[in-house]
Amino acid sequence: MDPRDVTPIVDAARRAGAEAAEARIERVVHREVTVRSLEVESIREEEDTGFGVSVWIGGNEGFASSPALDADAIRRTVDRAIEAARASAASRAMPHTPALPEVRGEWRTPIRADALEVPISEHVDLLTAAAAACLARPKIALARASLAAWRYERAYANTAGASIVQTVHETGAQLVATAGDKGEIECRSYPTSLFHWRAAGQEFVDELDLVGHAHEICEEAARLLTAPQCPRERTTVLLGPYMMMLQIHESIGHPLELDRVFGDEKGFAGASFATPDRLGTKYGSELLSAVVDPTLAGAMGGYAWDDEGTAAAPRPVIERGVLVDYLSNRESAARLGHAPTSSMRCVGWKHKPIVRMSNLSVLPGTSSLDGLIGGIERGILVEHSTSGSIDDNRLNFQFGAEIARVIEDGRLTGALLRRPSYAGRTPEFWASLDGLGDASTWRVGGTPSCGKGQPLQIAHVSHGSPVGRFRDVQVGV
Amino acid sequence: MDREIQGVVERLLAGASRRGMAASVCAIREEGNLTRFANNEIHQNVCQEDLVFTVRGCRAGRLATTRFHGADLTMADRALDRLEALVKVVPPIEGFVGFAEGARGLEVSRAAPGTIATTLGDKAGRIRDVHALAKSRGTQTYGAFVTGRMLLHVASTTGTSATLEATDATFEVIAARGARSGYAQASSVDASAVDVIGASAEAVEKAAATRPPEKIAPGEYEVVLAPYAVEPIVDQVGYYGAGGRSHVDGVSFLLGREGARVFADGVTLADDGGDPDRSLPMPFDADGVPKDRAVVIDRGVFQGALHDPLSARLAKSPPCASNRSTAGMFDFFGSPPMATNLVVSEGSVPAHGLCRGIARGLYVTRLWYVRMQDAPRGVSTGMTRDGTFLISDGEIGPPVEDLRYTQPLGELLSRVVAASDSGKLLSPTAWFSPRVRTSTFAPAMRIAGMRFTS
Repeated sequence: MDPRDVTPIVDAARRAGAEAAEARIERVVHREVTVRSLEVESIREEEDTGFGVSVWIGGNEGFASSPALDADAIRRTVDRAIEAARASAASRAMPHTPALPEVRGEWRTPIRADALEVPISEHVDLLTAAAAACLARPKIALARASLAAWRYERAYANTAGASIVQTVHETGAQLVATAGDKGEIECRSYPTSLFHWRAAGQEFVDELDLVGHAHEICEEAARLLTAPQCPRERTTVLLGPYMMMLQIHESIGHPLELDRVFGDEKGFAGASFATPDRLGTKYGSELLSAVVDPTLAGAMGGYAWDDEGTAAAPRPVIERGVLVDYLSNRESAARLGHAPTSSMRCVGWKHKPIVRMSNLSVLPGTSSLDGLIGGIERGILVEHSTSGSIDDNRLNFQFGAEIARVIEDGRLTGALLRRPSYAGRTPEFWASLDGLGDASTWRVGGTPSCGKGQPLQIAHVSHGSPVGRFRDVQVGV
Repeated sequence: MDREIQGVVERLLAGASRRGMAASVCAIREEGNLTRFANNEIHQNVCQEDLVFTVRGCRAGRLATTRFHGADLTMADRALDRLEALVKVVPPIEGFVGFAEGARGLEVSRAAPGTIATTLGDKAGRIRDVHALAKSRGTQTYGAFVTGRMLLHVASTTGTSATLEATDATFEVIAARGARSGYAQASSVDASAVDVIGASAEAVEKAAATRPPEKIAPGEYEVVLAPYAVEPIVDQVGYYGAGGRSHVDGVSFLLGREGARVFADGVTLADDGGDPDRSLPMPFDADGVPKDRAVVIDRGVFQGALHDPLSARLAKSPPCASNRSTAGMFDFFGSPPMATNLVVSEGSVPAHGLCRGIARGLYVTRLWYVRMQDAPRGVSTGMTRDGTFLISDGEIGPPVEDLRYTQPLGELLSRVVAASDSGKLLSPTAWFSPRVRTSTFAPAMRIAGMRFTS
């Protein structure tokens, strides 16, 4: 069976009695290499093909999936989806069969070179050289260099006649240096700790120049060994763009997922403080504007159509500090009377689509980095997230980072603080934003590890962000 | 034994041998379905099947991995081509002696007919009864009922052949009424033994408090943690504290503490996939090596890290010493060695007696988003969720607003003063792919001082 032709699955669903059906076939090719010090810790390549189908019977939805694409497997899987839809009728208040879109198109990530076509020996050599560059530096006890690349071929069709084919390329690489001395240990990463992935080809790996940046992180990791712990106090905090990404992810992205807002995720990931009565009210300072844009160039997790066939386009969710919209799919947006933000996504063929982030960005402000630092009498610049925890309504958060740089009298003193952490509550924190970096401070970064849903789906998402300055923040928690 | 799996495995092992490679194959066939509900109605009903082969190949110490889905023999051949290409380019691992010799002809069945016979309609009907109960008490319910079956087969060119056929069933529910909420979970290999009404009644009871939660000041409180709250804390001990990779990377807070008292003497913790009452079954690891009970903490004393052969080599420990081999979870590609079936030993106090004598403290149903903020120091943080109550004069009283704790685990677990004489078998309903269910058995615990920071 042609893995780009989903029609046989949709036809099978129609023949089995589905009032409406949509199906996806996905083929993924994945490569991952990790070098620990001078040894290849893991090297692997994977391919994965399968399909998932959603059907509606009496307005109730059922979903089933299978890795087999033969006629028997399609028939068996469609039957299971129909059984699931019928079972749902036992406790469903308002069944509804959606009007599916009739849309056709094809899209692919623009890249210069597919990283998966690069001989894997070159990736092994690159990572080994990067790790070796670290191990040659003083006090470096361990270096871990890693690289991964994905190519997704996704085909979608539905009973309304839609047919979409999308090819997505994503890649990234990372170098982590661990310094150790006298029982102390500290880590620094390049380009960053969590959001170091892009929708790109081998050219992104080449641009990163892991070897050329080894000395920077090694020097800082070694300096952190003797740096003081971040003190417990309230102070002004400047968040670097990659630290901002975790803040955006946890305290804007997840709380604005409309399925959470309506309680569909309360049984697992939680709900949201950002209930619909807050639409049109303040979410943060007037400097804060955020946009959902799956089409953002280079952003991991991007696409031209989401997994229910809604065309992607930039959509504001926060404008000058005011909440104006949510991340939504067809069903949840209709409950608000809004148009969907093309945020219906599934991870692989196996899973049912749910409301997810793709790329959610905070728009740049007008301040230079020097200008932001210049406005701080006493504070810290916090960079590169290491941990994050937030409550199930997305209010009480606490994040940790690799490094903080001391700011005094409007300048970086050069002093470092180890293992900084900060905590707050979402509305008060975003209200304390009083400076936002300009485009020169803005970065795009993605992570392949955003978990949501049952069964758990680990999605690829990204954020664009400038540097942000926040006043009166609790640090050193 | 599944003939389709057998055919692919034989082709892979024979093909690897022809190419001069040793090989180890892990095959997992899964069928699972999950019914989710929210606001007292079913909103998601999904069925998933998968068949995935993870193949590791080794030639002269050069080790690589590949994976594919489905029983297509051309995919198997392509996987071998890929594997051979990988082992050609990867440098040899110094001191790697090849794949462990696992069990030969081990077949374990923990498949319950009650789970296999459960239909989606049966589950939906039981959930409808839950909704009726919730409505009668003025609460909304949210949760999921997961059932599944799995066949796991590990085979290698060294003669390993180990097979597990298992079923699982987990029901979890949050009941909510305004700002009040309660939580409960029930897990078993047998879906018909999962008491969904009992669990729901437990959650509904916690949500049905007459008063809204009151705000209390952060600070240090004596606490009673329900088993649901103990689970994520001991899971962190299993992963960050006792995980082999944490030790060889030097980031475990238990590094160098072997033989030392690290927790209170009432804390005993083991990885034990063979305990039929306290774990979902995991009789062997990803190498096919039978898993014995590996004690991690014995009456407060750290016994040693959980290593696989690779991390044991780096730690300069004998491979699989003391039957500690736990070669990573099967569902993560290349995951580090870790406990998959933690069992916390029960204490001697009836659960209802744990609060006795506490003048002012907190009863915590559940902890959420528990994260290791500072791994080398073992500083953990997380939020209470779905039922936090004030304890006054030994009695559980009114609900309070959720709080965040931040505390080194060594300090927290050194303050355990009692554990309940019974526990709960818990398993995450948000299973990864492919499904190999992990589990934790935990009693309730009374802890003399838990530090709440906001």
